[in-house]
Amino acid sequence: MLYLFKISFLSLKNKISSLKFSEDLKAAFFIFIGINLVLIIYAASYSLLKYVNSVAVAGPLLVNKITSLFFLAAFMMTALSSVIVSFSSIYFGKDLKLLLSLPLKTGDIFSFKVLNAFFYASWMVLAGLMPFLIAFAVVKGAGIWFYVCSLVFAVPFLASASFTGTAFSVVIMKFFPKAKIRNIIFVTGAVFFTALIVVLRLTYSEKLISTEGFALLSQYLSYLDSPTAKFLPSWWYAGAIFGLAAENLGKVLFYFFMLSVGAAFMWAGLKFLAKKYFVDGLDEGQAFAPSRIKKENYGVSSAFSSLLKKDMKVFFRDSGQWSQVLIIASIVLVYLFSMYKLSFETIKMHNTMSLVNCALVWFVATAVALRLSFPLISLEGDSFWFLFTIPVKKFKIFTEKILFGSFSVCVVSIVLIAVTNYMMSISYPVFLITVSATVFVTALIACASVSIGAILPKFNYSSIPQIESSLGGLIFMLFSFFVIIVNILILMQPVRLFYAGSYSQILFVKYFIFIVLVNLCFLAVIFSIGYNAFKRIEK
Amino acid sequence: MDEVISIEVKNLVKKYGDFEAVKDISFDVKKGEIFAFLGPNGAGKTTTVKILTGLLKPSSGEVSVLGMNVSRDIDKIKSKIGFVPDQPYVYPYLTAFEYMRMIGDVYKVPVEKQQKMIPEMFEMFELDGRSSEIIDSFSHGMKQKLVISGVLLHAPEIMFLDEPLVGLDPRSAKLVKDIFAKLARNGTTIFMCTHVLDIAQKLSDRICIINGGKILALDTFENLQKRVDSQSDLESVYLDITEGVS
Repeated sequence: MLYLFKISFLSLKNKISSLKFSEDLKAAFFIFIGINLVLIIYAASYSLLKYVNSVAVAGPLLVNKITSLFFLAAFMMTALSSVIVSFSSIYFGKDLKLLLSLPLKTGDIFSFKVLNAFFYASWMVLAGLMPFLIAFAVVKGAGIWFYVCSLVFAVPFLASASFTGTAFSVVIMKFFPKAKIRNIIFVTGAVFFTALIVVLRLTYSEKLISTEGFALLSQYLSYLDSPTAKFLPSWWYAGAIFGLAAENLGKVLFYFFMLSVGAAFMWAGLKFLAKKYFVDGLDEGQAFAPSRIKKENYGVSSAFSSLLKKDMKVFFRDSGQWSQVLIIASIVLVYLFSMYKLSFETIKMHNTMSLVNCALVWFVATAVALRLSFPLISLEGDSFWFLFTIPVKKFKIFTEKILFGSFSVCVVSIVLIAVTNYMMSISYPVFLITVSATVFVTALIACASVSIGAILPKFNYSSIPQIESSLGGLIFMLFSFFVIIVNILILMQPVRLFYAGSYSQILFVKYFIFIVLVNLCFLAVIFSIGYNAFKRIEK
Repeated sequence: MDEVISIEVKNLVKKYGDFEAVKDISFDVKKGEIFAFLGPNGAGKTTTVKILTGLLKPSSGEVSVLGMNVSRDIDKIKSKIGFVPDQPYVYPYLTAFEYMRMIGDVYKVPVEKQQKMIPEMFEMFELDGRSSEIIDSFSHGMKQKLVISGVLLHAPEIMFLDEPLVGLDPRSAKLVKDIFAKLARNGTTIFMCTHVLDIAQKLSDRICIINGGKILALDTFENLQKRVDSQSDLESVYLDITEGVS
């Protein structure tokens, strides 16, 4: 098995040494962004934990509750990542055929793949976990041993999560036809993730900040002090961390023992499953029931509408896209729920919140565009030979992509802004100008997503999230944030004047025209750059 | 044979950064001709055919198809040509029927003709039982047959084929060869990149051998044969011409 790790190491070394200047630059840029994200997580965690810790009586218990919830989320994220990574690496890895043809034990190949999946599924979670733990240690005034031990304990904790995810993949592979598995896993993963967001938002945050749901303070304190999912390794890790902070050696040893035994048990279970099912799961000959779509008609369509229909069919039949839709639905649901829970008692609150709501809706539009319309060009990838040899002008093809991409972004945003404005009882003139502005801002965001997707496409990908997290995705988000800031700055003036009692219809119309012109100018520029890049694509 | 020129290439060069994939090549293809474009892996065949179909832009040189400049008039050219790529990647979540209908719509094939031809194509290529399945479930050969069916549906004046027989079963390969021969007799020009030397020898009117981005030989099989040994088959001629050249 060491030989296999040596191959991985050499591949990584060669990849790094063969990076071109532009790729070096890109890598440096991503490292810079990554470091900043870690610093942001640290700053946010530190502020939150420090504030909560200072709350009288319940403070330290609240810190522990937040920490255990954080670990539960880390556990679920690692397990979920492992489901996806292990599935694509163990059963669909490009190197699998080569590895199986080498004179190596199948068990060793499996172990190598499992450890690989563990690494790839957990490093990012660990990168997010570390700044949180440091913030926790600083708030609790923990010593040097806390840092060393929390890092060591994270290994069995994340390993348990990763092995659980991998075991799930192995079992699924045994019982479902291989051709359908990838879809099942991605949808399961998305449902998993969506449920996590919704459950955390709908339950815990409300309970943690309010004692209203509890008849007695003692009940509230006892709720905070109760274990969070006590049979999961996330609680054992939390127990060990709390023991370290409290310098309670017995507690530390007990939970470290539980973590180690849990990880060892999962590893043994995984090996057992692999022995029984791994080779079966690799069998190409599993029964495959092809999808049949009976409808056959000969209606007349223009080339443009034919391409639009093609994009819609491909989108709705690709379950990789369903997971994106589920994630978006969860974001929208959580957003609507959060707005519903808010109450506005002053004019100043209305003024501020109508603008904040606008910005947040546009952020949601950015998230939707990043997931649905930004990947449209990259997803064409290998089919560019078709798109560029059919007798349809590239301008038409590009416009069709933008139209298709804009629809979902604009519909989601307009519905969201209208519903939230209604929930917040926003006055009619402000309601009208924010909804109208949203039409233009989201059209621009959608156009920018397809255009930047054409300027910086990612044709080598194994899943849609890889396209979203590419350099192009990042630049699209930065552009989108810039657009949002510019539009909010323009909107501030009429909204402020309205709430200050100086409403003038002419002024509102003037500002609206200004917003339209600004967005149309941006749209023309980004469309033109995107179209030129699209024309130059050579595949 | 009609002496109208269908494809004309003059001093074509294609560079990828410092690497020159196609080095100053010139040739022409006559209307109704089957033109075989041969060469080892990485010789520049796919790059050339992609330039001819407008998928790649030439670094320099002139390429005209049906008397129109490819760089300038590609939108007009595209309705008159058909392309079968070396990898038959088609939208995996469309059914075979939907793919054919899309081809019919974008090439403006009359609906009546589509109604007649689509079932005929499926039957001819033994896809009739699978036409309502999504393409994702098709084998490489089935996808190849579907792409060829799509090209045949809109009856182009020139067909550009990049390894059209790879992945086809012997019956389908024979069928495709017969179709190409018949189309050429009826005036369709066929530009075919292939590794299958037997097909090039039997089907083509002229053979062009390219290696390292340069044309090494361009002539009829009989004339190429004379260059080596009058008894040689195309394999021996090809090996002799490409030997030691890179």
